[in-house]
Amino acid sequence: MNIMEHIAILVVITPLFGAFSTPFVSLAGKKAADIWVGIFSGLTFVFSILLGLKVLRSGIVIYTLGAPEPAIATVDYNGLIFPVRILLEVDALSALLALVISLIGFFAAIYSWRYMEHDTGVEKFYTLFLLLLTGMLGIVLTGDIFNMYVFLEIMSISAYALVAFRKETFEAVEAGIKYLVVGSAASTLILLAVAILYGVYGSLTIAQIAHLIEVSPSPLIWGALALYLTGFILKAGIVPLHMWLIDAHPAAPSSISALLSGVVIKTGAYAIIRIFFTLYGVEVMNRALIGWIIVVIAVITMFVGGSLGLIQQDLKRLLAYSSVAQMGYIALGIGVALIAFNTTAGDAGLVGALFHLLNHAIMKGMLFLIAGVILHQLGTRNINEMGGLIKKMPITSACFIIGGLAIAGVPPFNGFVSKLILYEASAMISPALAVIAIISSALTLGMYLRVIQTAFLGRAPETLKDIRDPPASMLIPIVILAILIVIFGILPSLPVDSIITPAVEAVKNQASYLSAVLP
Amino acid sequence: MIKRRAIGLSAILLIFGLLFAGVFLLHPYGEPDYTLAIKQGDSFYQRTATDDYFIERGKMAEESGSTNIVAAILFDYRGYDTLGEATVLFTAVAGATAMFRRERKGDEDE
Amino acid sequence: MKMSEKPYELSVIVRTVARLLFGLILIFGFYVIVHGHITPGGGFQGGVVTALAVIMLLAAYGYEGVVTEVREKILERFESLGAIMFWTLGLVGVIATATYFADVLYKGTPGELISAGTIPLMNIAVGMKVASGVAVLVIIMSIGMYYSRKYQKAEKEGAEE
Repeated sequence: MNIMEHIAILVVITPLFGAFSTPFVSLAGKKAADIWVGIFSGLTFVFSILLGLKVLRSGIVIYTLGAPEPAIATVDYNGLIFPVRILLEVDALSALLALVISLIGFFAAIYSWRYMEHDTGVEKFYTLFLLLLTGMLGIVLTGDIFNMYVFLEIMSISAYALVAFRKETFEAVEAGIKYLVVGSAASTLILLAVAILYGVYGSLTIAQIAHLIEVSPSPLIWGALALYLTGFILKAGIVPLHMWLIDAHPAAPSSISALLSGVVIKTGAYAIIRIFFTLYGVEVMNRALIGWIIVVIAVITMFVGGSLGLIQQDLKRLLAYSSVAQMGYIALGIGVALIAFNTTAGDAGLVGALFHLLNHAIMKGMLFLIAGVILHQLGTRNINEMGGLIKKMPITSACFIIGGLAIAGVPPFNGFVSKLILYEASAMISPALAVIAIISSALTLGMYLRVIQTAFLGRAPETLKDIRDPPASMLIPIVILAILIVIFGILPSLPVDSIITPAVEAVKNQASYLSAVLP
Repeated sequence: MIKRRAIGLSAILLIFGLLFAGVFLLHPYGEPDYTLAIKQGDSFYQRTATDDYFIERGKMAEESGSTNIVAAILFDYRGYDTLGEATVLFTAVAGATAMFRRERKGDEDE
Repeated sequence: MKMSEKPYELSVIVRTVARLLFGLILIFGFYVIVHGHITPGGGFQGGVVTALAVIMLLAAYGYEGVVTEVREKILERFESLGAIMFWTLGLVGVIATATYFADVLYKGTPGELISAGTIPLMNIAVGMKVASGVAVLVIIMSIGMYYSRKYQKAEKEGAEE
């Protein structure tokens, strides 16, 4: 058995096996469960790197479930050649997302060791954690719309339970139920879209449907597109469907908040990109109209997230609003890329969107982990009860300042680079757009400067006497993410040239995605 | 409050109307539409080939060998989806047991 | 007939019938699971039928009457075991140098009980998983009901004092 041949499926089924076996391993105590979840999330990370290398080296990876050979995607039926089985289709975009997800997932797992030490039911927590990881990886790697829905459900249901995991607080249960109700509604819309596409075209494979849409677009697909967009905009937490995010992300345990804000909402953005550029293709749709709709939504999202975040007293709630604002930037990049597809502006928009997606996953993942450190060490999330933390916990505070400045787009950190690319791209479409984006970035800066000034600088209140930096297993993931922020800020060409540009090429090149499956 | 309900109701009616109108754009039930294959000329694809393939080949020994074609589709052609669905149930059970767990160790009875 | 000492139990007729039918329902569930690849049914359907046996006991005897016989912790382990079995049966294809979920075992003659390769085995794994999973869900819900009833009772007594 050659591992590289099966690497695409291994990325999904490794955390899945970890989830199934955690109940047995946890019989041997919490320590065993800790190590088990560390091993499996680490293995997933390693497999994601190997998968990424394979995609970069040999192009799109096809893995057909149940076929005699992974690459045999189609069957020959009386001279008709079409795919019948489920297949995973991994291009550079999927590989990029898988890498980001498993990176944040691995760090969040290590972080959870000490963070969850005071909670009961840790084995359930780890099971759901690995299932959340499985769901996200399944979504980004699959080449089949129904399979995408199935993994979306795995991701969503485990996320509902994890948000409400600290059930002794009213806030968590309320947020969990809210997330459950609106999330299920969104899932239903997505299932309806899948049903319509299957009803019209009789296939579930993305490549096959994309080909059929190109050949004979039916009016029904626009209904499916509307349902798809509504569902995934909710899953991505973009205004006007962001209300669940503001409650759910702060209420979850912090390692889960890092995953939710860092990568779960990114799978929504991934699905939107995949649907626009691969499933439907830019040729059949009215690019300018849909692109401008996305841009308007994006602008509103940036402003709502930025301005409401300014007045929050709760640190994690502030970070959640900031996530909404940053999703606006990613949506802005997607909208610009749709309006000006295959021009300099469009390419810059895509580069900006994907680079900001990567950066935001790292930055927001780290910031939520730090919020968790503060909650763990101080026992409060209220900014006004903090003060002078930089003297008490210098490493954590330095990392928070780096992350806060990076997300606000201050040089020399990575957020600055990706936002700069987005400003340039939107200025080529309309200078007013760039101005709006810069103004809302100033809102984000104000938001984070306030936190830094109140919580980290200044004088420490009397109540915070014996505060220290957290244990190493919580600190190391944070420090590594902070180092990544600085490296990506100083040497942006390193990630852009090696992983972002191939992903952009993959998004733009619908024909190669199709020809990898169809003869 | 009434205004909000009216907006919600009209939105539901609108979506229902659009979906209902969409039904007439599909091919009639049980009567496959082969026009797509003709329209394509030299292209290979046609709409209903997947269903025919399952019905004809599903029970053959070289494919799955199961006379219950539903089982053949569930566990052979789309086995990965079934694993996913079983995982959805597993997730739901894990989530429910996590919600009903005891809060502190050594809580009273059971 | 005077009120039973145990208010959570249904009448003696229901209890007797439930006791008698328990084994029959289990056997029918197993039948549906094992014959999944040749007759209508399969792991999901048979699993739910099997879980129904436990649900019927819960309805007839109440949570307090069943909890001593059926432990949800054990059922949870069974569920994980079923899931691992299903996962591993998928891996058989990888080991046999095909792909994940490839049906590589002995196919036999279509229509016989021993045929269709891994499909009957997968049915059994899924049946085990679904049966214990659904049973656990219902037991957990009844635990919730049990505690809310207990708290209500305690509140009522507190109010009367």
